[in-house]
Amino acid sequence: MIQGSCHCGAVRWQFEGQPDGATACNCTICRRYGVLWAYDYEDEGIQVSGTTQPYVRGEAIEFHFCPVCGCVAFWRAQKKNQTGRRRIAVNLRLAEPEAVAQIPIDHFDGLNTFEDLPRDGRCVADYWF
Amino acid sequence: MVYKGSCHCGRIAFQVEGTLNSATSCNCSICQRKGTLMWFVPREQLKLLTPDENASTYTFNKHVIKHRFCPNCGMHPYGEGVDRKGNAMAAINIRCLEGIELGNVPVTQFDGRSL
Repeated sequence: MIQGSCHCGAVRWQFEGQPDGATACNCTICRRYGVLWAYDYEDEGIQVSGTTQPYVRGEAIEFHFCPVCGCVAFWRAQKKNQTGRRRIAVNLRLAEPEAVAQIPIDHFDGLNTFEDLPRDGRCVADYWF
Repeated sequence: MVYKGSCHCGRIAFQVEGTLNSATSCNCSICQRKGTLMWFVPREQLKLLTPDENASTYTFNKHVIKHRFCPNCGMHPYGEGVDRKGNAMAAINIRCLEGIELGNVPVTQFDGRSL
């Protein structure tokens, strides 16, 4: 299990097990946020707690950050899917660095093609700096 | 050169004058979480195009650095502080600048976690 919290500690998340990858996306939002995402479903592999401020874009997803310290904690689907599950992804930058250092980076071209790009051998540790 | 920047929703917009040769990445408790790529410039080179109060402020520890962020979209475009000589400085998060290729800006690593 991996845990994360914003800087002031008001918002927390918990990820069961170890993520297969951490997604770095180049869309206009993710590029600015500087986030590294790990995906699952709400109240299955991922639990979140604390008061957040949502930033809603379009009709599909909403980004949640701490209104006190501004750290981006997770994004979540606005609606559950046909099977009643709600997609969610947490920002691995809020975890202790040692807990996530070796997770490989998955590049996602959210700006243009909306497709996955090949892995380049980098892992989260390469992104701490 | 003048660079334009903004948060995502546009509540915070600014321009920065200077030459962007490199950025600093830091692993301290807040930079680690925010993933900022910082370009340090004298504060007077940062010109806000939106009211100062549009940005929220977070401080901690000695409360000497103002970590500014957008209360609407959660972007963190800049911070404000004072250098060792007492000069007002700004740390521009180059992730929020327009017209630059992030991968082309050399990044210097700063081990803020060990301070």
